[in-house]
Amino acid sequence: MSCHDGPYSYAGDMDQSVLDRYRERWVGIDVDGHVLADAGELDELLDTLDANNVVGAVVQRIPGVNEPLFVGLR
Amino acid sequence: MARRWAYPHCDLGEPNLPDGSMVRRPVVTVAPLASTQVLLAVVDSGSPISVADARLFDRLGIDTGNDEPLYEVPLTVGGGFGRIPVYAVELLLKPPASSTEPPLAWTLHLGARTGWHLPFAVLLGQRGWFDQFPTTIDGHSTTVEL
Repeated sequence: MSCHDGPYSYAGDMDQSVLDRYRERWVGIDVDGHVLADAGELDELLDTLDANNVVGAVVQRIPGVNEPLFVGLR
Repeated sequence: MARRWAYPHCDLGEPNLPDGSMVRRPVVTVAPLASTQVLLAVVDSGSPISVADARLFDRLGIDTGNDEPLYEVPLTVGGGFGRIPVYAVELLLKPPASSTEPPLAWTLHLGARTGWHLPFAVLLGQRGWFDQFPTTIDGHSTTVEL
């Protein structure tokens, strides 16, 4: 079992060029790993997805290459 | 016998560790009741509370500028120290990809954190997640008892 089994297949399945393109952006991704929409903030992305009648997009933020690794809230 | 949903750990696009190993997070999938989208939520047994991007709360029916929180919790916010408001909200736990079962709604206390720059929208901790769902995390997956 891996994250790439089934419809919740996202960042790991994207081409590196796609990953680099959306660094530090919120993205909505379809079952094939394609980015359907992106935005600078989460609420903006959700608004865009809804306005475009997208259903079931997996939403995440693509981290920047130099962002610190999250190991817990402080 | 309790039903179990198993979610594989996910690569969220974070850079590999210096030794080349991939970062995989224990995630479950959630959604606001009124939303048709799917949000990634990292499960963290080390966090005493559950928190989310403050920009999500409008979708949860909360006006963080005006609604009175249940309580506040001190956290660093945007590089400074602040108290984040915690609200009672309802979320849908979406089943893993392999399941055809319907989502499960539950109510939790969720903190609204501004300046959110994490690759997931929600962090589920002891309060709000582990006090609701017995959860087992191993090196590959997160298994939730319903």
